[in-house]
Amino acid sequence: MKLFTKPKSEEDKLIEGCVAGKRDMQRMLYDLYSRKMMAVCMRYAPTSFEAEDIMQEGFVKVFANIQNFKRDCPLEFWVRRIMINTALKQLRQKSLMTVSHETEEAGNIASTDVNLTGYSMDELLGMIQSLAPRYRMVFNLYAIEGYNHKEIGEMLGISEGTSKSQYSRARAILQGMLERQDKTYQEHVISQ
Amino acid sequence: MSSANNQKRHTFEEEFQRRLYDAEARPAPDLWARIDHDLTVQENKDYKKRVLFYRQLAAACFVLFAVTGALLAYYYNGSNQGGAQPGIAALPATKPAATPATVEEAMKAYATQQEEAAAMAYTYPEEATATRKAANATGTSQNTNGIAVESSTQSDAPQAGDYFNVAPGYSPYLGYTPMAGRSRGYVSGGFPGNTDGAASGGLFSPGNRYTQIITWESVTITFGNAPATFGQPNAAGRQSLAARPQSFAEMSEAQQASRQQAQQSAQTRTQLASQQPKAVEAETKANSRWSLNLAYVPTVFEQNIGLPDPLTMPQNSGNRFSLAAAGPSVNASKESFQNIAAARDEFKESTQPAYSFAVEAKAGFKLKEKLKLLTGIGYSESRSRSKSNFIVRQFWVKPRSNERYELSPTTFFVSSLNDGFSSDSVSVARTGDSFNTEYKYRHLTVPVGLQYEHDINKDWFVYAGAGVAANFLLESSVTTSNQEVQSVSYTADDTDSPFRNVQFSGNGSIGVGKRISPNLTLALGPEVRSYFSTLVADPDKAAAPQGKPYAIGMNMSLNYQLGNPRK
Repeated sequence: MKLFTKPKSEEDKLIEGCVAGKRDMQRMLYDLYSRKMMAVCMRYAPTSFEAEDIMQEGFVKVFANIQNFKRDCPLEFWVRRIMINTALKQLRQKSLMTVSHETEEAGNIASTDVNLTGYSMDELLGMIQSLAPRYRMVFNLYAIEGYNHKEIGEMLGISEGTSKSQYSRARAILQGMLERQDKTYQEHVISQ
Repeated sequence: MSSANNQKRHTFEEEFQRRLYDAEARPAPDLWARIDHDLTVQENKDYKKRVLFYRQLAAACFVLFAVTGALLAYYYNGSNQGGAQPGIAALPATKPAATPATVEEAMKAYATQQEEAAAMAYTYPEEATATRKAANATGTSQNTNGIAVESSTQSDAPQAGDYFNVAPGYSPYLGYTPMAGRSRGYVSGGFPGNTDGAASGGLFSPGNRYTQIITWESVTITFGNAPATFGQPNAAGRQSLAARPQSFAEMSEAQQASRQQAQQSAQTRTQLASQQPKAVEAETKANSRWSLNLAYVPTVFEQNIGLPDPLTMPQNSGNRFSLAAAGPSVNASKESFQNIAAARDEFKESTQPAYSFAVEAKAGFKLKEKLKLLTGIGYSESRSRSKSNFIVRQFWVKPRSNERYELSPTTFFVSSLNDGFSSDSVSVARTGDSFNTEYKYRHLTVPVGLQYEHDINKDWFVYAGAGVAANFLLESSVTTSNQEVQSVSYTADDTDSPFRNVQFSGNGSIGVGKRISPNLTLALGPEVRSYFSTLVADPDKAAAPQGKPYAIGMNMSLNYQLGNPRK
């Protein structure tokens, strides 16, 4: 028997309100996470319109399933995971996730020092969105979300080797983009 | 999720993660509206699912009641039939004839039966004739196709090639007649009555050609005055078949003995028939599923009615209350405003359940070994009480003289049961002495419920019951101990009564029972009764917050099992 009960945090109250279906609480949760989740969705979607679709569907799922949230992780993480899964599902439905069982090994990826300070977030998002869907997925999951290739393989239904291979290609493409951007910038500076 | 051992992560990945993991972007302004719309649609779907569920539940309840009613009707009809026509039950069932598989089998079976009947007919020709006459007189056995049966068998017997129809009962030629409907037969060849072989007793002696095609569902043998059955062959007939009389004297004696035996048999049957109703009645009583149940349930009753919050008092009546709530600058109204809050708090603290009870007389019908359906009629009296220091004073202003006159002071409770306060000015005043108020609701109830009983041992059992009841309001009253404060009482006919005249409630009970005698049991256990709606008919119009009342009590019931006691 618990002698002392932990006082309810704001997050607990928010969750309980959402579980009870209170619209004002749902709105509060949306306001709390909508900006971050929008950025997440934009990384996975090719356009901002599709990102909004993902986010819309994702939040509806969040509110429909919040009673299943076990509070064993931060709420933000749980919401983010739902957004990612929704993005994967939507891309799968649009047949953009054609699985190619590439056996090519990624090989040793050269360690390159990259400084992204000079790039705006829109520029970085633009680069990621320009990647092919499967490369974009793997890159996001590995480089930004922090999953390993085994986990990514399980999430996307591909092998670990395929994940590594696709990631190395995505990385190469992005490095190429960054180099071109740098070259253009240097030429611009020299010409001035 | 994210693996801690992400191998080979370089500056490239770290840099992207640093810039993008916690990045933010502004969603479209209408995105929440779209989500809100989706949520509403989803809720409507859930609502529709719930509505569908409740519809199905209602349909299931309807089917349950219909089936229960049908079972009861079936049981009643079955009991009535058994009691009204005991003779039918007393008579042994006619043995159905096995359907012959082939024509040869049919002929063989028929020939076997015909042999016995013909022998009997031969033994007692006079009696057979008398029987035919009697049968014709009563119409129970007919030869309807113009074949004369009143004359001697010699001349009346069907000739070869005759078609004939036979009706249920005795046929002098066939001896067997189909019981269900008419059957058609064709006779070819000789019959016992019109051949020499028959006259000499050699019914199926060589030379007697005898074929018949006949269909029947059941046959019975009739002989003499009393109908014989397959199960009880006529002893005299057998005897006569074994030892044929040699003289008229012997024939006469045999005939007399047969008649005496038939008379005795008829008397025995009459006695049996007269005893049958009593036996059926006794059997019905012994296997009765019915029981009588008397229940007494003292309860504590929570009417679940509060007093209004001064901030939520009606603002549309234009009286001083409204002014008080809107602008506390008027001192008198401000005082009333404070008194309302104080009265509300006082009511909340002082209201407590008073002695309430319900009595019910129910008939029980055992649906299964352990499951019983109970329904009947009952009466309940639910009370609650509170102590108060506040009264409501209402004033009218006469239009011409502008003279104020006061209505009888009432309790704040009564005033807040509707959206009243329609007088020109209202105030809640503090009285010098506190007074008691009692709230009483009397209902006539019609309960229907199911009770499940499970034996613990020979004398004790546990039970669980649940049911619903329709509650018809007989009277509701709010009485006070203060003479100055008006008490009110409403009957079901009062149109100005704010209370609901009919409302439904559900109840559940569990407990233990003891068998006092083989027929009598006493059960005891807690019972919860919850009303499905508020006491006030229109809670939306009431200033006071309304909840659904409930009662918790102790069910004490006596059950008397009709008929055979429990073994």
